[in-house]
Amino acid sequence: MEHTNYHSYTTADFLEDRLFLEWVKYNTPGSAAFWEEWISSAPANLGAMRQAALQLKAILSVKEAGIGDDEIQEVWTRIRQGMQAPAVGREGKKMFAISPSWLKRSISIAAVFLVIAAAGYFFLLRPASTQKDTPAGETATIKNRDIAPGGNKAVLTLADGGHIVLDSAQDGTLGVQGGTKLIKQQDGQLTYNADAAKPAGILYNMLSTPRGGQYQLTLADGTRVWLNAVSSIRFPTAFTGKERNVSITGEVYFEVAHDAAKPFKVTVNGMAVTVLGTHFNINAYSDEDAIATTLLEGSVLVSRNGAANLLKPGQQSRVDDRGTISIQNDIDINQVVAWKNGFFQFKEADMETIMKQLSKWYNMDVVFEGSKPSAVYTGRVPRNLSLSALLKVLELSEVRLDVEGNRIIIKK
Amino acid sequence: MRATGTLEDYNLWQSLKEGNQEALATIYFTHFKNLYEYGLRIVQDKELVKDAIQDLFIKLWTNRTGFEDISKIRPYLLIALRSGLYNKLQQKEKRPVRPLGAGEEFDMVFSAESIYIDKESFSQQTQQLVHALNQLTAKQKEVVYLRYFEELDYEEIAKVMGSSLKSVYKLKARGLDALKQLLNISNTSLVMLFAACRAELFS
Repeated sequence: MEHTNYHSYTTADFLEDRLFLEWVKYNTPGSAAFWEEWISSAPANLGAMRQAALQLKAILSVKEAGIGDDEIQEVWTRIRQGMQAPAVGREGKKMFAISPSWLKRSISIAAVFLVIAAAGYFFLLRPASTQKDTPAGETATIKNRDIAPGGNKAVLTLADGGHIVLDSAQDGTLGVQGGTKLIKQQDGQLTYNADAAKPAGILYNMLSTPRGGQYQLTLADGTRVWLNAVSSIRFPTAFTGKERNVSITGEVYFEVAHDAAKPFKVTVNGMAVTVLGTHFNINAYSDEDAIATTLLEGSVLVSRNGAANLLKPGQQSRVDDRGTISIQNDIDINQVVAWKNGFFQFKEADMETIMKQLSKWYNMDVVFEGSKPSAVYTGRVPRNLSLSALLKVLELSEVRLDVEGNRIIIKK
Repeated sequence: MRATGTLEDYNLWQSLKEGNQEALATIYFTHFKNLYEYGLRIVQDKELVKDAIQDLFIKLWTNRTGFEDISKIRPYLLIALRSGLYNKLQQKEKRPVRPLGAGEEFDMVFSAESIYIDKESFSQQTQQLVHALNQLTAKQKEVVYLRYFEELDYEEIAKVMGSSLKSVYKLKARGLDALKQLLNISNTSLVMLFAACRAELFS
């Protein structure tokens, strides 16, 4: 740390000092240690420093507007569409220029496969699917082509920042990260095979799903992870420390491999779930009013800011924006994990609750025109239905659901 | 979190110019939140701000080959977003057309109840400070925002706001006078905001 002569600083000087700002604004361990030591030296200008801290805090009292990760992702998706519009083909290949050479090779091969696959889809599947959908799917309210359900789509971010698009990458070994092999299986699964003999440095990878995507992942310790749409998990390629730490966004279901010596810890938005080996679901979507952790088997410890609760199977903890933890018993487990088993399942759910799930899976925006319908729905439908088929079911009550472009419009 | 002139930014920018989409993605995800927060203060319309950021990054990609080399990306993005937003405002005629940078609002509310101010210091002085800060003009608020939230230096602030360095310092000086009257308290405790108002260093 550089030694500026802080003993001669005025309030004004402190306010312009980077290390001072770092302390008051971010309270980083390094800066806090420095300033605590400085205070303990009882400097003559301590008052000036206190004054500066007070003033800086008043300035920093401005509230941020805040924005959800899924919204940031959405704008990015729009940008990517805008980028691809003018120049197709050549630009597509360039996007992987940063990847290491082994990755570059496999991806150019994958890119060729992708083109063939896309052509095949267009010529072979498209006419069949329109034929199939036209008689059944046509209603007065569906104005556009039908919307397909989501599928196994995800992007893997490697430790060096390179990306692999998993829906288009071919099956097989994708590469090696820190001595761990990455194997893409069929049917939307990715497996990390750690080589116990060669524990290399810890590298972090991130798997994320877009709207309309889901993916399954097996971590290096054998823990199985299911990602719902608009979700992500950041994880090490091998678990070498005392704890197994991962962090998530969105909705994720875990089947944690048992290892009493190494607790498995999931962090999400300031909350932590610590387990030894168990099955549980976390729903932390930013459009929900609380982070819901539901336990199926075993036991988990949910903690936030020092407060902690031990869950029993069948219980759900809800942590709201203010950090309050509440526990609910008698949770319908099947309903909570229906998404992972390929279903939408609702019990007396209102339209808004249903639309939250639909918008993420069918990649649609939802607009309520007028007041929200009061009808509630109970039932279970497969997630692989086309949108029109699903909306027909919902239209059995007194609502009108129009599809315009990428929006579902709900009229009472 | 911080915008610093670095080799990293320089390399990222080079990589973007060479047509690397990952570079664009990195720039986007690193700076989005800051751009969004700043944009919302200029115009309180979330969709409009998102659209402006979208346009900004599409342009960044389309025009990438013609860019100069830079070593600090954040100020460049803030400048582009600011002018993009004003253009959009004029197109949409959501507000009467005004020349760029002339007396627009800058939405920035200081609050004594914020987390940054702990209960012990919730004194009369804090209240006064917060009240006085809220009386600053739009442009003065923008200077304070860019300095303490974006952590730009005064030269960069001048560039972002399309003013000369001198006028940025003048803004601070005038703010100091205004605050003195508002608060009617001693000069020393006011040094605060306009700390860097030491024009002699820059003349």
